[in-house]
Amino acid sequence: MRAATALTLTLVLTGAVAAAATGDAAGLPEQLHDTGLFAAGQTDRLGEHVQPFTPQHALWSDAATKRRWIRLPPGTAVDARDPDRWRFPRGTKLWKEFSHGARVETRYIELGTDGRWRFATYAWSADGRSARLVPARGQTLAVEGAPSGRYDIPSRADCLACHADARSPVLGFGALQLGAELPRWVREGRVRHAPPAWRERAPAIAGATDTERAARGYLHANCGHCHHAPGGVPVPLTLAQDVAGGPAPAPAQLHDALRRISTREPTQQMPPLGTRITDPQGQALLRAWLDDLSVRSALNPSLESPR
Amino acid sequence: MKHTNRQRPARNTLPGTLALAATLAMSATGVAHAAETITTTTARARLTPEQARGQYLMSTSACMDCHTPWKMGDKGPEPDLTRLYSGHPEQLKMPPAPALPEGPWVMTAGATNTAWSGPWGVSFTANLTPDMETGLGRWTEADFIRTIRTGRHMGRGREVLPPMPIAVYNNFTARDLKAIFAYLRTVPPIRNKVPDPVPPAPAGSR
Repeated sequence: MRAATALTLTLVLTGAVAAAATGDAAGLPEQLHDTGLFAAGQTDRLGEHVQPFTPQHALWSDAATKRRWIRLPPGTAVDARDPDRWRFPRGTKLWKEFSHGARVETRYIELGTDGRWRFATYAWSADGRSARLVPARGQTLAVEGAPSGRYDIPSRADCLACHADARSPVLGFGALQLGAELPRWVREGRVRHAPPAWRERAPAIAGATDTERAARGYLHANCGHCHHAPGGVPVPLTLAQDVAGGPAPAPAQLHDALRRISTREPTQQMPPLGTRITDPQGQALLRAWLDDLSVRSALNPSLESPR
Repeated sequence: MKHTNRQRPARNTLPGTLALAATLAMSATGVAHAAETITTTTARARLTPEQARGQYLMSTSACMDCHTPWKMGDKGPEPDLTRLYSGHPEQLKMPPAPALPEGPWVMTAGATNTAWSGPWGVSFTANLTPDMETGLGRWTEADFIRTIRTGRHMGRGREVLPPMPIAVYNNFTARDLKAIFAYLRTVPPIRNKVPDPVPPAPAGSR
């Protein structure tokens, strides 16, 4: 009874604000097909100029299988002059598909000709033949294979919570995320004003060991869209990584991050939305990094936080 | 300055499960008291027109009633203006909230009106002063506005918990919210680390 009442109260207090905070999604297609992801009449063959990509550090999404695509208008390119804040040409479209055995949801963002980003998401039909625009307030579905059989499609306000204040509204298509895929994009001229070295090799996340690099990459992908500097949430914790490197969080901050990613108590969990269960691999990564740090600290007590 | 309003908070009835209504009902008794107190305390001095408007909006929108701890004065409960807008006092460790029987009563509040217990757990009102470490000192105007607009802490984090009437305050215009934030910047910073919310007890454990 208590949980149900809490839900009622939450809906009372948050439901009314959703519409005002969702941004302008007017004009977005009712059907995923009409966004141009797939060729006409298809649900697998990609549309013209749509290309897949895979970030090397994934956002945890409750073990959902994900696929991602981008479409840059022909003749345009991403501007990488600021290596940590890429600028995308108007008309850019991106999609991310979530599956638990079958396709459940495809999220969509586009940069309109007016220079404004729009966010939407589409829920797949049970027969997998079409996907329809989800209302702005989001939706919870019964999905076999999802944690507890429940799957939360984010509201557009939730989309903005992660994307609107990030260094770039596009979170997974960036210099530190594309990894081995980056040189091809640079050589093909679809990422311009990039350092010449990127034609051969993508920049790597800083770190003294593979474990540290992987852990920093995990924090970058899962926390960096809010915990970045300058800007970001008003707390003194930066977890986004820069192409030029940067300081690592202090061990105490890492312990706190581990504690927060290891709970799904709603007022404590991190990330604060978009996930119902914890990520065992992410937790193992942070623990391994902390273990490394404690060993290094024991060997050399004057050791500062690694850079 | 002593308060001139000597009215004690009336007993409230909580209609259904609406924490929002509870807050407004509580505010109905306290807001006139609070509004008068604020304006006389700060004497409306040295405020820009925008800051003064923010002060007016806060004093007429019940912000004082939960975000400034109440104390027992000579004439009854009154806001402790030495803790203006500093939220639940860090030193006040709350014992476990009383367990309520099944029925229409769902919420309890501490004597300071800064700690609330209900089906969502226990929530503590936030420190709105511009203290850098424990208040809104690091917040930008955009953080503040986004919090009200999204109902999420800092505009991106956990949900803001009852009894904060986010849905009501979302009716403020952007100009209103900018004015409120501008006024909050003029409030004396108070170092007071408000505790984290306490999750509800697991079902069957109480």
